[in-house]
Amino acid sequence: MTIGIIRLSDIYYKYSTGAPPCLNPVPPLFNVLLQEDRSCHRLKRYLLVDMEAEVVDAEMVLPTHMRFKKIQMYDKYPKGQARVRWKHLKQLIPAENYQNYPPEEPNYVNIETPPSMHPCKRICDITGYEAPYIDPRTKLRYANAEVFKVIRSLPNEYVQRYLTLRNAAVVLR
Amino acid sequence: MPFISKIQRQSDYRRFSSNHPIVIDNGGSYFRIGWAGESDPRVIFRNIIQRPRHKITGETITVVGDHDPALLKYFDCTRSGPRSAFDSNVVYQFEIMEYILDFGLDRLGADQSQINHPVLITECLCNPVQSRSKMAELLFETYGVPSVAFGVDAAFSYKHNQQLGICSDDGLAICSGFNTSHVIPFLNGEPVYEASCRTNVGGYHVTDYLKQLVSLKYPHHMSHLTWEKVEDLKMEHCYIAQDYASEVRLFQREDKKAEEKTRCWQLPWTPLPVEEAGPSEEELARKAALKEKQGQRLREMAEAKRFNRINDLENETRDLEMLLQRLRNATEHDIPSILAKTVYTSQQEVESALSKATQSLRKAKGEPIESVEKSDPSSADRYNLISIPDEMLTPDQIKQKRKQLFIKSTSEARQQKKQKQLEEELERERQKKLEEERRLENPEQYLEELRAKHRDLSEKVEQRKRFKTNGGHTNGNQNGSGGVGRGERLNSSQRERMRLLTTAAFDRGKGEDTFGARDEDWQLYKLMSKDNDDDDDDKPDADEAELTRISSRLLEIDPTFFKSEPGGASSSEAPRFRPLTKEDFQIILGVERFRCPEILFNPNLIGIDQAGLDEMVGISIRRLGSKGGGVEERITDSILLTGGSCLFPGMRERLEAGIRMIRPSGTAIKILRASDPILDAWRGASTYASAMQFPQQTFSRMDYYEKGEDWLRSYRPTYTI
Repeated sequence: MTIGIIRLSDIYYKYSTGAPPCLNPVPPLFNVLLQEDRSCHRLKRYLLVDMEAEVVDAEMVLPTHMRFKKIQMYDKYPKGQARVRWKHLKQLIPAENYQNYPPEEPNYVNIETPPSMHPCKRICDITGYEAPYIDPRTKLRYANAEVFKVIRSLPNEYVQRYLTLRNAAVVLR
Repeated sequence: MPFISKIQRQSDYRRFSSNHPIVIDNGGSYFRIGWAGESDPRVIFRNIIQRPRHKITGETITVVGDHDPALLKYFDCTRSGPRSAFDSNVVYQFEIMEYILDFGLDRLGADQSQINHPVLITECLCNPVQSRSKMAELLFETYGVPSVAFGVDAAFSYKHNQQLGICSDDGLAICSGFNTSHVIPFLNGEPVYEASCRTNVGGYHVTDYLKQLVSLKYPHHMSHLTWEKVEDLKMEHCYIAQDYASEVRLFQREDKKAEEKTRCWQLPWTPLPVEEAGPSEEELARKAALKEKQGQRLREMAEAKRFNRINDLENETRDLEMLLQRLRNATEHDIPSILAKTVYTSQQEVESALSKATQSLRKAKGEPIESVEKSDPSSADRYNLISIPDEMLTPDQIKQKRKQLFIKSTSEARQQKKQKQLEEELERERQKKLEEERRLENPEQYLEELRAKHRDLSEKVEQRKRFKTNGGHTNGNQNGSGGVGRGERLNSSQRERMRLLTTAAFDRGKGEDTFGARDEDWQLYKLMSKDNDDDDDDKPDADEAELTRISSRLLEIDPTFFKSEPGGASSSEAPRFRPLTKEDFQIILGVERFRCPEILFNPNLIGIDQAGLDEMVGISIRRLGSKGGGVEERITDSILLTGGSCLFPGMRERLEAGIRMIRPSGTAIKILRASDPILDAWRGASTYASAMQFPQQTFSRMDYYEKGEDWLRSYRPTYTI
């Protein structure tokens, strides 16, 4: 079985790198071979697919089989995607166990810049002008009476979006 | 920088011997790959992938970087936006990373059974070891790379500029990238990680801030504001203000300079074909004639129908009359036989049918119908039984009497109502006349009064409405009642109901229970019942009626008056009631031009509680402290600006001013722009990888598995080789 697969991937590789798609339809021999091998299922589907000529010409679709790889994508992720969720940075950091190392050793966390020493600049959420006032109802900062009028006529959704911009929106979980 | 680039596959892959390193700058926004020793990377593309589904086959495919968006029409992109392998500046999604490496190596021309070249790849400063080991694993296991080296992009950029003679051995690199900004001091040409600092603000945040601000300002042009377009806008228009406060004051005062600094982006807009002044006379006449003709036809049809009906009814009455005649002439004995041929069972029935038919005939002919009340003279004998006491009547007659009583009372009530209506009509007529007189007397004053009245009433009605539907879309603003905060969910009547319910639930049982002692107590349930709160919606209330009357009157006599739409068009929508003009399709960038890049200096503006670029320099020098050995005095003499976000105009001047404030006076401060802030990192890495001693900085698969993760954690290349 494997012989067929190897030869097919060669054909497929050629196909994906711009050789004229004359290999459609696939010779029946390959078809039979492939139908018996589950790992090549995706490959076969690819070969039988008629993508639009423009798409094939632009080579925008990344081939699933790369000749230079030792482990192919479809072998690594047979379901088409990773089974586990990748850990985000937030989950990665605790697992780094930085507390076990001397604090003077630089690591991802301790090189972060501390908060600023200067007083926080307050600017109008709508216009960007300096904002001496805060609307007690919406908690938006505003510069003058005109902006205040605008704020009061804003729908709640927009108020929340403005607040989100400076990470001040109330998030209900 | 063009986003869309058809990347040619390189054809000279086989020309490079197996120990020739491949250099990858794995940046947050762009992925650059090329050969060591060359001056430019071979392949550059955006470090993102997209995984849409092919519409016809349903196959999920992978698209790396940017491609002609026109080709994406064959794919269903609704559930897959562009995705990146980065979380902040750390690679975490190695599936995406693998697709990107696949694409990059494929375009580099790799076609052997494995990648038989050492790889130098950049990573962030102090990359978490999990990310680093996964990357090493990926390169070793999947691509069969013989050896790998990691390095920091900012350091390579500094080294490159050092070789160009732009900056010196001791200095400071300020690298503002896509996701983060770093300040890294250099001593004797080596980066001092311990004294570096990172703020999580970069070009991504600037673009995102701009995008959000503009789309909040122009919600109806949201579709034009794609990420790519906004990125273009940022690169074209954004600049860094020397002093934010004074710059913004220019705009606040609407200064002439501010006007010059305002940029306008005209969206594609085609003016609507200007309509003619109106259809011509001829056209109007033609239309009127057509309408008239149609009306005529309808009238004719109605006439014919009426005629038919009258005919039918006449025939019917004639038949019935004949039948009645025959019945009267016939003997008692013959009646059943005559009736058997008809649908009627008795003479009375025939009579009643006849009277009904004659009445409807009259109606059809348009003659006035004799009302029941017309038979007033006969009322005496119609209500003959009423005045007779019950005792003198038979049970049958009592029943009859009750019926008469009922009929009498209803007819009287009807008449009274009619009378009342008539009086009201008269009263209204009188008032109208009075008003008219007053108007003629002093039209100005009258109009003024009317307007004031209208204003008062409309306010009252509005307020009531608001009171009823509290909260709503305007988040309960501009109501006079006050004290109603946002998040208030119930309207007043609902609230009242809730109050009643709670008191009913909790007041029972304490003290003496006197509920029900008085009849009014039971009214409570009426108030509590759910349908109570909307019953006042059904009957039009007096104020509203008065309001409509006044506004119609105003419409009649006041040419300046126009009826305001309730609620009014919300400001977020494109104005609908006037034709859209060119100005409606303009996106004006004023304060935004420098407000967005300002976050690099004040990350607080977007809620990131870290110091900005200028303060970072101070922090970095402070951290250098004891280690520097006096070098911090002259470190500021060679400050290198690198990274894509350093391209904003005004960056250098602003930084210089900021650093001068931090450092003691008289300190030499020299800020240098990197020769190419974007590509220098790759170029530096390329030079580094082509050096003779480069192989000593790499580690192989064997090393990796023998030395373990702890070794990899402390892995740090020497940049000066």
